[in-house]
Amino acid sequence: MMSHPPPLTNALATWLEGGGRRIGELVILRRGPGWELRHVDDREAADGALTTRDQPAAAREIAKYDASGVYRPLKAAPSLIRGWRLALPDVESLRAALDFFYPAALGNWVALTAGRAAPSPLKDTFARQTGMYRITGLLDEDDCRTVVAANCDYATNCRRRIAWPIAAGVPLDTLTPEKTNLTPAEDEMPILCLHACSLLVAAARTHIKKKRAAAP
Amino acid sequence: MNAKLPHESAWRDAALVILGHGSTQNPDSSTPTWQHAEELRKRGLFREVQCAFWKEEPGFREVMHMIDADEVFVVPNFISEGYFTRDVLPRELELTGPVTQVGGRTIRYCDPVGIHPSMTRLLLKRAAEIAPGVPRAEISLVIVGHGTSLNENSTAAIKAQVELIKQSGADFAEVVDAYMEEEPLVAKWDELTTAPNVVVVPFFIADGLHSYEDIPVLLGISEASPGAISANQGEVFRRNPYSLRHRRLFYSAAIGTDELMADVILDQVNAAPRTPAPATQA
Repeated sequence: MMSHPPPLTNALATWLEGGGRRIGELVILRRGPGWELRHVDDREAADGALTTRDQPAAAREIAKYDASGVYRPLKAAPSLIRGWRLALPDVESLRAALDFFYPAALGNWVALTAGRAAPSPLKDTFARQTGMYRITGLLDEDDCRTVVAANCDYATNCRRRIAWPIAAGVPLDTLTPEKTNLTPAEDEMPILCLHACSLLVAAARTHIKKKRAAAP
Repeated sequence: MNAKLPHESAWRDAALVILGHGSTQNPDSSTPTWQHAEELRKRGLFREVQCAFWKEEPGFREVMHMIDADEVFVVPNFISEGYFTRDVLPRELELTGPVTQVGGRTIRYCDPVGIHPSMTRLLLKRAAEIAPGVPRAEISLVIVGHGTSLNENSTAAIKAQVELIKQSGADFAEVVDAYMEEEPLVAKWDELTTAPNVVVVPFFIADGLHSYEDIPVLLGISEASPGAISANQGEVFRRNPYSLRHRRLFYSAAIGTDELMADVILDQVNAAPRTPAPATQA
């Protein structure tokens, strides 16, 4: 056990002590002095019915492919596999495992709560692109809404909660409310989207190229 | 107790962030970066070690939120300098220069691994591993890169390595650079070399379509395929030696998969930019 836990580990410990137990498709269980991670749908399963792992790095393997064996580059996609339990001895190892399942989720949440995060408006993210993605700077606000609607649905695409507007003063209002709810249930740590990801930037490029090709 | 080198003491309270390209299509693209990070975590040299990616998670824009340390070394796990290391990475990390001071934190942006001279050690080791027992004087060593690419200058990095290997006294029959898309072309490997044994090492950070499929097809050791990464992709590295064009050809996985890359990352940390001295009063 660490004598001087790092600030982020402390933040996780404080959240757990306050009853925090959910993040994305994971549930966190208290098991004696340690912690256990499972898919939330396996919450009631008997230990013996699940494959037991005990290293934080196992999380990277568990999160890598979906149930069909398809690669999961987007870790908040609602396709985490079931059938495993990850037994961890302390908060530090729990943090490491969470960093593999939902990279930067803890850090983003701590930063936003502490007022240290500055979400990038979507049009700003597009405006700073260079090279092959520079063309995304041409998306107008309606294009942005279209691309987000097609790629960021909470139920089917991605369980991150979007913290950014379309542009300064132009809120994102075309998705279901849960997508922009940064304070969901009491026991849940939201997986925040502070900056549009490379998948959305790539989708935006495809969108604008199609639009220009179709233009008269 | 072993005496610690001065730089190692500086590392103990610092974070190491290793940057990779990653891929939304190739699950093996980020694997070496994760593996080198895990190796460096095990060595316990840094307070924390994280990875960040262009096309995977954590992204470049969010990795700094994962860090507790005030001193951060950033090493691009890229094979060369170019568009990514010069433009994209500094922009996404919001760096102000080689040394960035932000919010009480100092971020030192190191050179990419592929341009460090110590890559020579890895190339020599890899050649010995895949052609065990073959005398170097009977080997033509071919270092293969992409060639004309908008995003990287691996050509310069590879030519530099060829010179370093020649100067190392390693005594290969010859050492040549070759490329997928520019002269000298790897497809003409038998014209570029004379020794009975030819060792081909892809100068890439990770294995993927180029090393699994494209280069083997250009070499003539594989048939052309639809281009999707197949389940048997690593097989091509396990069938050495190949007998063709009156030679024995030994084909290696990408050099970036070598476990010694972790040491090259440390070499770049060791060469990290210093904090500029404050301007003196006039």
